[in-house]
Amino acid sequence: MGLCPTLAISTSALNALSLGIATVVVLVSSNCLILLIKKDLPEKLYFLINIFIIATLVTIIELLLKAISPTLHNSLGIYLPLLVVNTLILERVESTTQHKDLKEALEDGVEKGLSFSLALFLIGSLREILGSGTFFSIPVLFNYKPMFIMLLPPGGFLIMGFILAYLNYRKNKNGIL
Amino acid sequence: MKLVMASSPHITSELNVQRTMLNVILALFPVIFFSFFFFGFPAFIVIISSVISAVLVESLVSIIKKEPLTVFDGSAALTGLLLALWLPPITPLWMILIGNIFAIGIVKQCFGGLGHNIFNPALAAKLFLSITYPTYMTSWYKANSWFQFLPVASSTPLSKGATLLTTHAQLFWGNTAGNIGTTSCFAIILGAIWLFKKHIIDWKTSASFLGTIFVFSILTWNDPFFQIMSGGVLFAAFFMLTDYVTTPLTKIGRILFGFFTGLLVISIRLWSIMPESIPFAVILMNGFVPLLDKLGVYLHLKIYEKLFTKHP
Repeated sequence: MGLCPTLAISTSALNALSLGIATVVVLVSSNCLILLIKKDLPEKLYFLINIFIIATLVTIIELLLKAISPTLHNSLGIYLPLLVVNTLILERVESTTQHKDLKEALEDGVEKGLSFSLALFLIGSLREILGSGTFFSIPVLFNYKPMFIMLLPPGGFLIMGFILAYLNYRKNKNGIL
Repeated sequence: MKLVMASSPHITSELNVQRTMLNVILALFPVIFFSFFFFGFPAFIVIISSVISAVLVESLVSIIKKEPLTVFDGSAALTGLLLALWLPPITPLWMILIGNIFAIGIVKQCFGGLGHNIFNPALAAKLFLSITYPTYMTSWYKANSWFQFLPVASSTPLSKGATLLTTHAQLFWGNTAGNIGTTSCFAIILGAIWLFKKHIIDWKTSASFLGTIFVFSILTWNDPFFQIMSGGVLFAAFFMLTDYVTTPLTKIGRILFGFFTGLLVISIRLWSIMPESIPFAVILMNGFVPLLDKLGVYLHLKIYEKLFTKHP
């Protein structure tokens, strides 16, 4: 879920981590906010107001990031505003209707958001190490010819495929992830 | 009763996988000889190390997968050989190893081994290398001296803005800069004659591919012979497009496959910045093979319906 930012932005560990953190913040706060006002919402407008709340939160995050670190904001580019239509967030917020109380919604948001950013961070750091030989812009591999393809979308798909293959392998072996 | 399920083609002649691979490798011998003649020892080292690393990677994968060794059918050696023939004469050894790991380990074995790969392993690895290390993959050398150890850098006949004038004779004998195995049309034609004589490759794909390139280069006001004899078009026509695994099985599918690949080659050559068009075109069309097969079966049925239905 949310494959578009995952593959486009995870070219470096820093980018991936910052997008992950932004996702966690948006997910948790929108989960809680929507749960609070859920009772007073008309059925027809539910989805519209969901999007509205997420968009507001994403805008806040974007402006904050622009104020704190313009370079990071530049490198994230369009993919930060695109969090509004990230299917992961939409799906989780949609499912908050099942949540009973605030604690549950909070837990759900933190859990899903953190696992998403962990995956993003893993792909991002692997791609950065292989693609430019650095980790958080610190050179880690010496005498290494960077594999340029890892910074391009095919590299992202390759890395993701390998991670999924490893997860499948573990699943087949142990029965659980 | 014991039922045996196997994918087509159901081979009933004495031609088995091992024999076929051996024949293709034999057909590549003139190419190897000419590359040695024009590019000297560096090319020879590239070829040898690529074959060795391909075999090593294949056996390593077999050991990891805990399956019987599949190196002895010769397909891995052939993949390594084909990859080496697509590389520039001077390629670092570690790069050859990475290319073979990608070709055998990922493109071939991750999809299930011989007969299951969607893409042509050698060309996919070539593509991977040329995107990953563009500077290495586009440094070509002049072909003029036998036993040379330090070749002279040069641009290929296809390079954009090159003032290099290459005659048709040069292109035919292979006396130009380029990849190891793809320069000499004479050697490639020798190999192709051997393959046709042994009924290993199908003429339909090659013919429609070369015909398309010929016609479209005339239509776009280019020299058709130059287009066909440069940049490994002939090599791809006889050794790459006719790969059993990544070609359609139906006749119409094969003709369409050759046609579209030729179209892509010409378009990439004329209107894109990439100096090499064959790997992109072939890999792209490899992805369409199942669709072309479906279309081929559909068209075959339609044609037979037209021919053999009795109208009252």
